[in-house]
Amino acid sequence: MATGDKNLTGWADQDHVPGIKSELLELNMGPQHPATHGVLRLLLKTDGEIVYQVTPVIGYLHRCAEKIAEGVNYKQWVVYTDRFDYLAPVCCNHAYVTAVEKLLKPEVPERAEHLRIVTAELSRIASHLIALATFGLDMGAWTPLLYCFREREEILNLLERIAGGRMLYNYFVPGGVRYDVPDEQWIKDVLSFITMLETKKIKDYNDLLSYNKIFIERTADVGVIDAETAKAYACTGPVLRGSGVKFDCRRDDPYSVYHKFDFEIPVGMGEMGTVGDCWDRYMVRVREIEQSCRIIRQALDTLPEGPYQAIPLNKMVKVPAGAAYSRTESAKGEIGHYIISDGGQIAFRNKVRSPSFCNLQVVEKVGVGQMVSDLVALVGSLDIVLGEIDR
Amino acid sequence: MSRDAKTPPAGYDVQREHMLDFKVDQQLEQVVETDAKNFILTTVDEVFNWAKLSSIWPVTFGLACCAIEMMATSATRYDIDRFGAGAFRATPRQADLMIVSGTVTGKMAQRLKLIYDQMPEPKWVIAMGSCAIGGGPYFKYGYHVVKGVDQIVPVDVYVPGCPPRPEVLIEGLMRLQDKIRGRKGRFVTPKWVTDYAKKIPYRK
Amino acid sequence: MEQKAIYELLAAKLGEGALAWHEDEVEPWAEIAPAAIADACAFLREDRNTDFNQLMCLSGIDWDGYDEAGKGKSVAILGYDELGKPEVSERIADGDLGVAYHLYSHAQRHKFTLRVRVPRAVAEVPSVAHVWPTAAWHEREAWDLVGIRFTGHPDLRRMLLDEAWEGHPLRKDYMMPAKWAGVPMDGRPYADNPFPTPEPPAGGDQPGATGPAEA
Repeated sequence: MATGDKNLTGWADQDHVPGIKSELLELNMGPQHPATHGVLRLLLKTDGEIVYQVTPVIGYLHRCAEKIAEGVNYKQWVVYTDRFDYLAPVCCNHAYVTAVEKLLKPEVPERAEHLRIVTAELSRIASHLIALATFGLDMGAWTPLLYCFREREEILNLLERIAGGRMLYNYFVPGGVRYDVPDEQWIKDVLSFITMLETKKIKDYNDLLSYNKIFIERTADVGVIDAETAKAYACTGPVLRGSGVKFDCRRDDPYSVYHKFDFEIPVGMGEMGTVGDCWDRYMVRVREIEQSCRIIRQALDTLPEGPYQAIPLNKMVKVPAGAAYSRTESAKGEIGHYIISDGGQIAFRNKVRSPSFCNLQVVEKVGVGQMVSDLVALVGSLDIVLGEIDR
Repeated sequence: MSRDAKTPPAGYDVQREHMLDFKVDQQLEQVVETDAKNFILTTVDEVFNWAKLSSIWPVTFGLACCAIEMMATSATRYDIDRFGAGAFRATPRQADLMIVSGTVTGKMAQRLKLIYDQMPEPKWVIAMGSCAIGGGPYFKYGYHVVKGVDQIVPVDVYVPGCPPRPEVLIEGLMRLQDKIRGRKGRFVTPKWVTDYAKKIPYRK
Repeated sequence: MEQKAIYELLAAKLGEGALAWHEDEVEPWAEIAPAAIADACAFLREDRNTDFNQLMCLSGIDWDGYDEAGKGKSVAILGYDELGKPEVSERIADGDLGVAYHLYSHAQRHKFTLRVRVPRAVAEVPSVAHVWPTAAWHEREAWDLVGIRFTGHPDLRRMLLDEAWEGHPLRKDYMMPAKWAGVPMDGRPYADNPFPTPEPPAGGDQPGATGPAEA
């Protein structure tokens, strides 16, 4: 959608200074650029500092995962879902296994569901920490990155102890999870970690970044996405909630056992400027970390005993014919998997609806009329992951 | 059973062999420690190589999942700056090292080569992760994936893993420093690693 | 609203455009004639009872070789094996192409699934990008990967692959290229030239290519 058209009409023909012909400057941002969060490329048309048109060019990380899905079996493909959103891989696993389980209909044990939620929320916190860190980095603040990565390493350690991998876990399988809790100490460590996060660390981030005067000046009233635009462009996750829409798949379209837990959905309120500006989207993430901590505590306190796999690990999965679309709330938004099975061990078609893909599209509309430096703030506040956009 | 990596097992020898016989370092330490009247005998090559390997500036070039581990390597716990390679430059024209961290796709290959060509000599390349080494999990059906960055640019050090842990990337950097020094990197698996590996019980 | 009731509303509006309602599935879905899909979507978007203001997902599908009995796919993925030997199939794919639309309403909290199916030779579906702006990128992706041409789309270019790429990869008869723009893609080590200089393909999106406004 070339939304910038109306701004461009006749612009270059006008003589702003008599006798001097002016035209728009084409600027190429990316794919190797420190502020594009990966290999995103933005084609800009600018007049000085004002952006008149933004055209995202994606596909520099197109890794053919949907084609691979037609060649590997259902359990093997969990590996590839890890690599979509590599900042919150467990959340991506969750979307995929729920889609397979819609067709397969195994009785997923309660303990597995609790473990899934604990790991997914830990992963969500890790992803939000990176979002805070890199957003701060985009705004010129290096120090928060060091703090955020320190806590992220703790989460990676905890997840490594339960899932065996450091960053990409391959932890979920259709019908359960791969490993049980290693020992009682793990539960104690997770609880002590989230207590520390809630009581101390989030205050640190707020002191360092959230209520920093320079940071607020850079982000408040910048890149405002109003609620109607966010809905029309199918924005989800913190981007939608930052615009003041109280919608969360975990609450409004419950999956797994999220209905058992008590948590709030933070929304942008325009505290520092307008509802839906970059600061709101940023702050929604900070508040979601607190809510994730609440969910983890409840899930671990009520962790039931019992098995954690409905299907043995060494058994091949044969999915009945049919099609199912399942969506879950990932750290970036609503991730959906549309699986068409022909009854075999390999999916016939596996389409992934990734949240970053839809969230990024709004840049075409909102980025117009901004300063180039504010566009960096806008893209940073969307918190995109290119592995998920390009797949 | 806890698998916490924070506590090294007993018998872990922290001193690494290859850090000890570092000729030029020792000579330069002597210069610092003793009077200025002393002199050292060395070659220009060795001094230059020592300078090169002590301040490798990588280009900020994250491609995929491995880029996050590259960030983690430069961040708090691992701190790649200890090895003189912490100054990530946003422009290839100021960089010596390209860490290809992630999957190289057909569309990206041209840009990658362009960035490599823009880097001034001398320059080195680390292929980080299975994708950059040989396509990784995207080898067989990846119609858009270049099966290894060594098909486009020459690679000095291969760092395996999917993604490699930060320790492995640091190990790769040290091997690269060995290479710059003009010495063959010799990798001896430390005894504590083999001992520790035997102790890990197989998880059902 | 119940999904069945939504379909009845839709059928009353579209008449012959609504082909069938598949109730006994994991997720019930409505089959719509390709020509009527834009009307159907506009109706579902505008009608106050349905109020589908979000297009959750739009998927392009190649139905060639779909066998519900699960006797294996008739068409394999065509690529190269580990030794660089090409896999070649003599079979010519002739199945239909399809598009699936997953809708959601924030206000009514209900979902609905639409599907259309077009013959492979035609492969044209009306665009719904004017109904939901988010459909624009989804349709570009479906055009790119499956090769379904969306008529009336404001800017139908390739989304993920380069403009000069040949073929649509998610079609079942797609053959992986051995070499593209000077870069070997088939995994054979060091083909003829160890370090080829990749050249931007003619007609591809060059650096600084103009956006849609001047296209």
